[in-house]
Amino acid sequence: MWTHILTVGLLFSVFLMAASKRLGALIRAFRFQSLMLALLTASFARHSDDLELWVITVMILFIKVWLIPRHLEKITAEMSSGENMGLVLNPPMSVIIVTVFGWLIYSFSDSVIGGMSGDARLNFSISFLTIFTGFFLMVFRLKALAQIIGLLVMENGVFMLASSISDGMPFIVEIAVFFDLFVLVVVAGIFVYRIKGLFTHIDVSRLTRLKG
Amino acid sequence: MLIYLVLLINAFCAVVPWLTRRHQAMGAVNIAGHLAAFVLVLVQIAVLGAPGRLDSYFCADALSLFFIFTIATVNLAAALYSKDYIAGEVGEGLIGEGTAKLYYSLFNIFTLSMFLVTLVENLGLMWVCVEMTTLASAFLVGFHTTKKAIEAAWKYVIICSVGLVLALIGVILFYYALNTGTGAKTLNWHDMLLHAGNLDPHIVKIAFIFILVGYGTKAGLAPMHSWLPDAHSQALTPISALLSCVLLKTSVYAILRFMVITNKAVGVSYAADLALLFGIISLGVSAAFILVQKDIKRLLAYSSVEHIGIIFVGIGIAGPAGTFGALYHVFNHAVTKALMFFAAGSVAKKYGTHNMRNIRGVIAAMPFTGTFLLFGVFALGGLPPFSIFMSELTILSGAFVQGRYLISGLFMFFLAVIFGALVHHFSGILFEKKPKEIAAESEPMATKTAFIMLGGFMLALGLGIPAFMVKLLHAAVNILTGI
Amino acid sequence: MIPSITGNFAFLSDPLSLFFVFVIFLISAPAAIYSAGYLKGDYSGGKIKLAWLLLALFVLSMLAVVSASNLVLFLIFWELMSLISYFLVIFDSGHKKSIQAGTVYIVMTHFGTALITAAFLIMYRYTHSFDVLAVKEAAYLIPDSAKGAVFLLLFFGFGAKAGIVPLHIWLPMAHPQAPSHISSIMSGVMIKLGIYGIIRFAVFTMGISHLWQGEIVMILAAVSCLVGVIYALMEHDIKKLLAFHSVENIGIILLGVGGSMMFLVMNQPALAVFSMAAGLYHLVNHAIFKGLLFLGAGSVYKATGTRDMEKMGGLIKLMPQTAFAFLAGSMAISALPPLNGFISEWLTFQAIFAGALKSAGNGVMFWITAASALALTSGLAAACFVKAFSVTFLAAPRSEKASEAKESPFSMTAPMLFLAGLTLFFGLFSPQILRVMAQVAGATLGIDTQNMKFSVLNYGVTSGLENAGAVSGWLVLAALVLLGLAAFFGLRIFYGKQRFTAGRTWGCGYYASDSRSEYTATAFSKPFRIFFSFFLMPYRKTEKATHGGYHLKYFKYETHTTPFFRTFFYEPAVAASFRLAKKVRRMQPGSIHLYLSYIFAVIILLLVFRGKF
Repeated sequence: MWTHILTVGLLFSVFLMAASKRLGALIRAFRFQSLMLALLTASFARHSDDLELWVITVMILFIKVWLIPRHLEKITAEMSSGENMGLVLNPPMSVIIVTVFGWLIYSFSDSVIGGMSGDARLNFSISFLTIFTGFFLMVFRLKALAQIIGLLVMENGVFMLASSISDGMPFIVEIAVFFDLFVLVVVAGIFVYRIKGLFTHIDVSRLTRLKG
Repeated sequence: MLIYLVLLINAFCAVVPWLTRRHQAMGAVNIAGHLAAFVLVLVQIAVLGAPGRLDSYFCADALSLFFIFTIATVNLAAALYSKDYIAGEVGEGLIGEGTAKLYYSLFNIFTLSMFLVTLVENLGLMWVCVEMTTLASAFLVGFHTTKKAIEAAWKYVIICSVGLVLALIGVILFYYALNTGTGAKTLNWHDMLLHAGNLDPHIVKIAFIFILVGYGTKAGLAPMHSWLPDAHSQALTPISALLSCVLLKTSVYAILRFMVITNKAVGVSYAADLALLFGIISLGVSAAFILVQKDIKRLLAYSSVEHIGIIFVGIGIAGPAGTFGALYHVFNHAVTKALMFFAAGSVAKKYGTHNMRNIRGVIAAMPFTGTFLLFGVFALGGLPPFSIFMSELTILSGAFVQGRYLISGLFMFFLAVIFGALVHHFSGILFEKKPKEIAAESEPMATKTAFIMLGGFMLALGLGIPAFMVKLLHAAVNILTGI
Repeated sequence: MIPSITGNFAFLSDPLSLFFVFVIFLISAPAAIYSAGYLKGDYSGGKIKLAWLLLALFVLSMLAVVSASNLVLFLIFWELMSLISYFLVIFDSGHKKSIQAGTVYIVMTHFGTALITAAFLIMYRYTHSFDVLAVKEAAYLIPDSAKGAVFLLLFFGFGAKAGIVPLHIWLPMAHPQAPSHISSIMSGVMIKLGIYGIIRFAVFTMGISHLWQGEIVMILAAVSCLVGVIYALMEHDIKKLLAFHSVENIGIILLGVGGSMMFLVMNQPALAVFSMAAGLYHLVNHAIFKGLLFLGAGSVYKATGTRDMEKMGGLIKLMPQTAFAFLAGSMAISALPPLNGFISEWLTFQAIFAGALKSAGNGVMFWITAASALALTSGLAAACFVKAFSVTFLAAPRSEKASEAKESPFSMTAPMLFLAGLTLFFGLFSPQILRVMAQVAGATLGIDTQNMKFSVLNYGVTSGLENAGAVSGWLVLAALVLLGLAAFFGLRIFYGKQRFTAGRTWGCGYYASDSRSEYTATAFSKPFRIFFSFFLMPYRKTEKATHGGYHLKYFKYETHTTPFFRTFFYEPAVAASFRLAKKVRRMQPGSIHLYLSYIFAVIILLLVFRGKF
C-alpha cells in the first residue's frame, strides 16, 4: 500500500513540475520527487533486505534531496534574473500535454513490453512519463537552470524505470551514475554562471549566434 | 598488460601540468607521454596480439584495440599540435599560464576517459565513461570565454546529456531483457553476448532504438547532430580534432558493442537497416550544409557528420566488406580529419577569421600548411591514393555485391556533391591571390611533425594496409559479424 | 577485398595498350620539348620546376591508366590522372577563371569516375574478380539487364572525360586555361583515354551484344560533331575554338567506334575491324594535328599576349615557321588530302557507307544520317579553320602587341614542325598505317585479321585487290614535291620576282587603311550564326552614348550566343541544388529547444515504425 501511495506521489510531483512557473517551485517539486524516490527505494530495501539498496536510499537522500537542490537554489539566488522560468507553454497547457502523454504512454506500454502485471505497468508508465516531463521541461522552458532540472528529472525517471522493471542496476553502476550526475550539475552550474556573465541573462532561447 | 600502462600514462600527464610552471615544459611532457602511449599500443597490437577479456572490468579484444589504436594515434598528433598552439595563445596573451595548465590537465582527463570507454567490459560503466568524456570536454569546448564558445559548450552539454539519458534507458532495457530472459544480473558485455540468443526480441528491438538514438546523438548522426557544428567549430583546434576524430568514434564503438548483442538476439537486418537509414540521412543533411557553408571549421564539422554517415552505411551494409570498410574508415577519417582541422585551424588563426570568403591564397602565404591542406581536401573528398578512397570503395563494393543499387546510388551522389562543394570552397581558399597584409612565415617544428605524421598515415594506408593492421581489422570484423 | 596498389601491380601489354602508349609518347615528347621554351620568361624558376614535375607525373599516370590490368588500379590511376591534370589546369592560379575552370573540370570528371566505379562494381558483383582478363572470361555471368546498365554507365562515365555532348562543357573551359603544352597533351591524348576506356571495357571486356549500344554511341557522336563544330565557328578565343574542335573530333572517332560496335552485332567482323581501325586512325591523327594546333596557339599567345583572334593578324610574316606548322595542322583538321585528317575521315565515311549498304529499311536512313552529319561537320570545320588561320596569321596585325610579335625559339618551333611532318607522313603512308590499325582493332575485337586485306580506297576483304588503286606513299610525296616546285617556278616565270611599288597622295584612302578595315572573325562567322540561330540563340546588346542627344560619342555593339547546355541544364541544376541546400539549412537556426525536439521526434517515430525494420 505504501508503495502505491509513493507512486501516486511521484505522479503528483510530475504534474507539479509541469504546472510550475518559477524556478523555486520547480526545485521544490524536484526535492519532493526525489524524496518519493528515496522512500520507494527504502521500501524495496526493506522487502529484499539488500544492504546495497539501503546505501542507494541514503545516496538519493543525500545527493538528490539535499545537495543538488541546495546547489541549484544557491545558483538561482545568485542569478537574480527573476524567478520566472520563461514559459513557452503556460502551466494549464503544460499539464494537459503531460496528462495526454501519460495516457498515451500507458496505453502503448502493453505493446512495448507485453504481459506486465498491472502494478509493473503503472510503474513503467510513470517512469516514462517522468522522463517525458523532464524532456518537456528542457524543450518548453527557456531558462538554462530549467534545462538542468529537466535533465535531473529525466535521470530520476530513468532511475525509477530501472527499479521498476529490473530491481535497479548493478550496484557499481548505480554509484557511478550518481557520481556522474553530481559532476554534471556542477559543470552545468559553472556554465550557467558563465552564460550569465557573458550574456547577462540565462535565457537559452536567445543563444542563437551559431546557426547554419 | 601494456594497456594499463597507457591508462597510467594518461593519468600521469593529467597531473603533471599542476606540478610544472612553464607551458613549454607541460607541452613537451604531454608529447612524450602520448608518444610513449602510442608506442605501447603499437607494440601491443603488432607483437603481443589482442588479449581479449582481462578481468571482470576490462576487456581488450581486437575491436577495443583497434579503437584504442585510433585514439592513441590522434592523441599523439593533437599533443604535438597543442604544444605550439598553446604556446602561441599564451604568447599572444589570449590565455594565461594557469589556463594553460588547465588545458593540458583537461586534455589528458579527456583522453583518459576516451580510452576507458573502449576498455571497460561493463556496459553501464561504459555509459558513465561516455558521460565523463562529455563533461571533460565541455570546458575544452568553452575554453575561450567568448559568447559563441559558451553557447556552443552549453548546447554540447545539454544535447549530449539528453542523448545519453536515452542511451541509459536503452542500457536498462537490455539489462531488463537479460533479467527476464535468463535471470542473469550482469551488465558485462561478454556475459550478455553469451545469453543473447535468449533475449526477448521485442524488448531488444526497443532497447536498441534507444541505444542508437542516444549514443547516436553523441556520435553525430543526423538528425541528432545539431550540437556538432557548434561545438567542433568553437573549440580550440587540437580539441576540435580530438572531438571529431576520436570522441565520435568512441560513441560508434558503444553502438557497435550493442549491435553485436542485438544481431544475435533479433537477426542482422534489424540493426543494419536502422544504421543504413541514419547513415544515408547523415550523408544527405551534411551534403546540404557543406554546399552553402561559410565558416571553415563548421564545414569540417559537417564533414565529420558526413563521414560518420559513411561509417554507418558501412555498418548497415554489414557483411565482411561493409564492416571491414566501416572500421577501416574509422581510422582513415580520424587521421585525415585531424590533419584538416590542424591545417584549417592554423590558417584561420593566421588570417584572423573563420569566414572562407575572406581567406585567399593560402598556398602562397603558408606553403607548408597549404600543401597539406590541399592534399587533405582531396583525401577528404575520397580521391586516391589516399586512404579514405580505399575504405569508401570497400563499403561501396559491399553494397554493390548485395545488389543495393539505390543505397549505392545515393551514397555516390552525396559524396560527389560534397566533393564538388569541397573543391569549390577550398580552391578559392588555397589559390587565388593572397592578400598583401598576410606575410609568409614558417611553422614550428612540433606542428610540422604532426602534419607529416598524419599525412604519412593518410598516404601509406591508401597504398596498402600493413599486415598487423589487416590482422587486427579481420579479428575485429569477426567479433562484429559474430563469427 | 579491395586490391591495393602495393599488392596488385600488374600490367597489360596487348596491342590496344601498346597503341595508346605509343600515342601518349608521340604527343607528350614534343609537348615536353616545347614547354622548355614556352615556360621560360613567363614563370618563376620554382614554378617551372613544378611544371616539369607535374608534366612527368601526368604522363606517368596516363601510361599507368592504359596499361593497368586491374579494375581498381585503373580507377586509382584514372583519378590520379584527373587530379594531376587539375593542378595543371589551375597552373595560372592567380586568375579566378583558371580556378573556376579547374573546379568545373575536376567535378565533372569525378562525376564520370563515379559512373565508371559503379560499372566496375557491378562487373565485380557477377564475376567476383577485379582482374580485367578474368572479368572478360567471366563476362557471360553478367545478366543482360546489368550488361545494359554497365554499358551506359561506362559510356557516360568515360564520355565525361572524352568530352561527349552533353558532358563536354568542361572542355572549352579547362583547355584554354591550362598552359599550352598541357592543353596539347590534354586535347591530344587525355581525352582519348576516355575512348580507350570505352573500347577496353565496353567492347573488349564486356562485349557488345545489342544494336542499341552502337546506335547510342553513333547518335551522340554525331551530335557531338555538330555541336562541337558549330560552337567552334562562333569562337574567337583561339584555344577555345580548338577545344570545341576536340569535341567534334571525338565525335568523329566515336562514329568509327560506334560503327564497329554495330557491325559486331550485324555479324560483319571484317567491317567491324575496319570501322574500329578507322576510329583508331582518326584518334592518332587528331592527337597529332590537335597537339600541333595547340602548340601553335601557345606560340601565338606567348608572342602576342592574347588569345583573342580579333587582336591578331599578319603573323605569317612575323612568325613564318609557326604559321607554316599551323597551316599544316589546319589543313589536316579540315581533311584536305594528302594529309592525315583526310585519310581517317575518308575511312570513316567508307565504314558508314558500308554500314548503309549492309542494312535494310530504317537502318539505311540511320547510317545515311550519320554520314550526312559527318559531311556537314567536315565542311563546317574547314570553314572554321579558314577563319582561324586567316584571321590569326594573314592580313595586317590588328593590335600593337600583334605587330611586335616575334618568332618563337627553336625549342618551340621544332616540335611543331615535327608534328607537321607527321601529318604528312600519316597521310602518305596510310596503307601501312591502316594495316597496323587493323591489327590493333582485330586484337581488341578478338577477330583474326590475318587473311583480311585492307586498302585505303577499298574497304573490306578483298582478295587479290590489296592496294588496288593505292599508290606508294613515296611516289605521292615525290609527285607533290615536283608539283610544288613546278608551281613555284611557274609563278616566278609568269609574274617575275615580287615587286614593290610606291604610290603617293590621292591614294583614295588606301594609305589610311589599316587593320580596322579587315575581315573580323565575328563577321566571317556571321552567316553560320544566322543559319544555326535556332540552336545558338544569339542575342545582341547595344549601347549608345551621345553628346546632348545629337552627336554620337560612341556606339557599343555586342553579340553573344547562348551556350545551350550550360544555360538550360547545368546552371539551373547547380542553382537548384544551392536553393535546396539553403532550405535544408533552415533546420539549424540556433535554437537548442528545436534541436532537442528533433531527438524526441526521432525516438517517437522509430518506436512507432519499428515494425518496418
